[in-house]
Amino acid sequence: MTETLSSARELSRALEAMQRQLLEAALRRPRYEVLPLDGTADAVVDHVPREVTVTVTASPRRGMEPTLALSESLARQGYRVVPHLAARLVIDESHLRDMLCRISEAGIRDIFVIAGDGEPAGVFPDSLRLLSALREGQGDGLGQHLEQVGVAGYPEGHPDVSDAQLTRALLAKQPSSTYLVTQLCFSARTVSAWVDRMRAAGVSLPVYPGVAGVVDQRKLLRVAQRIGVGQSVRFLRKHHGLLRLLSPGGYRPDGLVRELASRLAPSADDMAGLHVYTLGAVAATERWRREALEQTLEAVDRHRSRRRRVAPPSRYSALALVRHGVTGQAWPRAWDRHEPRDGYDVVIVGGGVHGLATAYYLATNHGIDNVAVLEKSYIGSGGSGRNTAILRSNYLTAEGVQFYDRSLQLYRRLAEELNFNVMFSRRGHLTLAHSDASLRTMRWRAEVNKLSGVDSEVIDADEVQRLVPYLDTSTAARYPILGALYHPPGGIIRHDAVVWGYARAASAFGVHVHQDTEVTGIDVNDGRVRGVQTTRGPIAAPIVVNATAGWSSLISAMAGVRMPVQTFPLQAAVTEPVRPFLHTVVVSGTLHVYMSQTARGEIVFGASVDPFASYSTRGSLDFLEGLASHVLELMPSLATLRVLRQWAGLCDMTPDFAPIMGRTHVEGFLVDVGWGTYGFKAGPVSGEAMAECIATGRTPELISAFGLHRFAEGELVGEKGAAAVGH
Amino acid sequence: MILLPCPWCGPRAADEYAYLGELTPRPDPQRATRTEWRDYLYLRANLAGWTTERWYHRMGCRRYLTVQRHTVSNDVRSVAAAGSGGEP
Amino acid sequence: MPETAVVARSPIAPAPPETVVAGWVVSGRRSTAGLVLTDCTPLAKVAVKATPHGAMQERLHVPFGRAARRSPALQAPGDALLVIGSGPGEWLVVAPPGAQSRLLEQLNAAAAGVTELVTLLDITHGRALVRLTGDRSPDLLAKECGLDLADAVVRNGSALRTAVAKLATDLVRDDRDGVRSYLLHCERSSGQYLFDALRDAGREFGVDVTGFEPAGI
Repeated sequence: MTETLSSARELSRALEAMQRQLLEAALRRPRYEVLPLDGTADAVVDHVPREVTVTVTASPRRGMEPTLALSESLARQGYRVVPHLAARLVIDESHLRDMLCRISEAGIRDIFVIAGDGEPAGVFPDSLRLLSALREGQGDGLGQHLEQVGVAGYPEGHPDVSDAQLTRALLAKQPSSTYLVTQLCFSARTVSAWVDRMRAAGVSLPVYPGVAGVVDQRKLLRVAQRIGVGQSVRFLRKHHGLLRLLSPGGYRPDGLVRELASRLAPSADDMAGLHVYTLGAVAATERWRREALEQTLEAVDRHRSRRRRVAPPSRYSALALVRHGVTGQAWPRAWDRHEPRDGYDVVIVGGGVHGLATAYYLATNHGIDNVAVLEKSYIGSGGSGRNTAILRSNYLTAEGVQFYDRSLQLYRRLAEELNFNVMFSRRGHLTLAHSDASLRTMRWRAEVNKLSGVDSEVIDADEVQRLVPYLDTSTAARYPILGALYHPPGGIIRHDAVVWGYARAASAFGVHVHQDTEVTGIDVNDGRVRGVQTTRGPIAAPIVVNATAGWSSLISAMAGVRMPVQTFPLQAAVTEPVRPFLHTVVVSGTLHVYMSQTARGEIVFGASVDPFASYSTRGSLDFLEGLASHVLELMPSLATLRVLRQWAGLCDMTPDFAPIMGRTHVEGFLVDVGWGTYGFKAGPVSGEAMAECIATGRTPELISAFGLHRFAEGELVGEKGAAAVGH
Repeated sequence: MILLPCPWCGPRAADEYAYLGELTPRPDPQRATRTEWRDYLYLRANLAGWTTERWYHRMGCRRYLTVQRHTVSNDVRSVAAAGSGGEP
Repeated sequence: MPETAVVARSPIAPAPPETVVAGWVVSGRRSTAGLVLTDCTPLAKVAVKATPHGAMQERLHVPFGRAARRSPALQAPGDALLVIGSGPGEWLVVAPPGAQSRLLEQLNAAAAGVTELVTLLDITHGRALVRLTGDRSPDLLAKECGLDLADAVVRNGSALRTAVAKLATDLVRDDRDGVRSYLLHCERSSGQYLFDALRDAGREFGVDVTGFEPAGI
């Protein structure tokens, strides 16, 4: 009984997770249908990002030419474009061949074939005839560059054709097409019922439900005038229910899109993406999409914090503090201690922020809670407890910015989500420029950041002085400060608290965190992982994740997986506490030093990795000497400050300074390693992505460039996602 | 910082040297498959224990050396001129 | 060519007043301090490379790690010569300003009949050469160099290459009239930096700059 309940709960959780993913994916990369009118090209280029696919309709009055011209122009601008090919506008096969030639030369690989309105201009009365011509012409290269061919579907019926005829036609088109776009729809129930009917009839093409974007009445009427009244009427007839768009107060598709995602979630093909009819309102549609995407992401987080309250170990609050203070009652353990089970669904090796976050998101996002995290020492004893706890997202490439921006977003809400004070201090982050060249790079970074919506700007030396009065901004300095990249969202966090918070929350969801449990072997047979050997006995598991830093080569070697990793110590030092005077994080790439003041008043310093590979975590004098000389170049007044202690953590460096994430050639053995010197700030987003990878069996796009196979294939990523720049 | 006993110059601090990584036998570039070559380029044993590695005394004798070092303790067992034997 | 015609400048800015010696702009400053730094870049410098312990080494008769005032293969003007065994199979030959062509000729002659590869290169203008003289010079160097410079380790006539102020530097113990003295030799582009680093380090010992004098090395 309980088992049934819990598996039902798991199922519903998994379903919800899929819906949210589907919604997010649909809103991230939709298709926008635009009309080939003057000004459309400008509207698209000005407002629409390149991840949106643009489909261009064909106008019976003006022929195929405007469609082709706009498609070519948008393809040149870097868009993925889908021209609509109206069968009745095509004169003969040579006309078809000419058009496909132009399409192919423009780099377009996807077309959408429709019948089109009015009398046939040539030999193709309907789309089926044109598709057949395409298919027959394949032998001599007709349309050979095409990868996708779409056809229309009519969930709300067609004014002139019966449903049965429509279904027969779709079945006939199926062999020569690759996807379906529905007419403009207003009811998720209708679409979902229609999809079920089509599947039953044997139509297996992926479906893109068509919805209207944001519509403003006046604009719609203007468009209607421009495309011609007759055509508008035909459009209205075919897109049943369109009059709803004219409801006072305008139309927003939010509810429809959410419901579509929720009804079509169980099969990815039932909602392969979203097709948005922009109806001339490109800018407004794009504005709507951004808002809707943001709301979706926020809803995901609200959803999570709501569910967290299901099983809190003991809620931390001011009230609880008072109660415990008054009663003298001991606090319960933050995370439970368990005897290891004989087996788990997932075993994660490494109890750092990456491993614990992966476990937490497996449990919360995907309902997979039969998970163990194995840590050979205490949790956070490795890199997670040894880094300098700086968070930022001001990277040089769009990929890097987006990756770390997501991580920063998760970090920002982490205290609330985990009900654990992780002491995130958003205090701003300064990267100093000591030369014109670095100032130029800063400007570049600032622009890349702004384009991704990340707050960064270049400030001059006076502004730097104002933010950090103790910096030597005189021109007499050996490395004069010319300016800085100022990144207000950056900051510091209490790294141990992040580890503890994740452990506590994961434990509340049923994850087992086993400390003092060292993995001594990994069982593999027939190319599949079967479990691990530990100092506390064998544990069976179909999925084993290597989330270690420092020892990642050795853990992978146990599974027979060789790694392109070398382990280098990275040292850091901390001074005695002093009054707060340093209110931002200060980084100098030229001097290779970074510093911040903790909540306790200590100044934490870091620099570059040791000059040779080692597993030793001993500090060295020459590191301290070099660090001190560099710090004093920046802040001579620190000369009297005493260093309290120094330490080292281990960094797994890869040849391209990017991490290694995802599956390996041993089935069920996944890695999240090679994080070099920047693993901590990527913890939450990596955990989220690895959890998705494990739960869905698919590698999320965010981490697809980081696969281990890239080395064998010679596809190193450089600075792409993980930012070798200024790591 | 560790001291490496250079066979030419005597014991010197490690920062006088360039660390060039663990030694792996190089496959014949004419005959190696792409996979073999990329494995040689990128894959490392990265052992925690005794390793044989290449160092270059860039601020001293400017000679290449074969060093046996323990990567956990950083103890150095032997340093010899490169090519004088002991390489894998 | 008259003494005053300028042919070259050291990478190290001369302390005022400036004067010209053997075509080099040098400092005319004369210091009587107990610890002095001199820019000796105008000295002729020739690099020799050959096989360690080979025939060329036999002819030069200076092993790696030693610096000698004479060599059977060479004769410099006024007998001012220093042959430095700066590396295995590497020598730096230093002689008075302008002597480089003569040195090259003599070295060429010495290399005749040697079957191993011998490389001779005039590096007079490619390097910087600094002399540090005074009893406290080991104390000064201890601030910029990790080596033990005690007599038992680096006695007079020792030559070695090591990091000084984090630069690869040839360091030669070459006492003058019984006073501790070191020659420091590095890339030309690092010359000013090395000079400044030594002057900074020597401030507490009262180091001063004194100009180059062509007599002797």
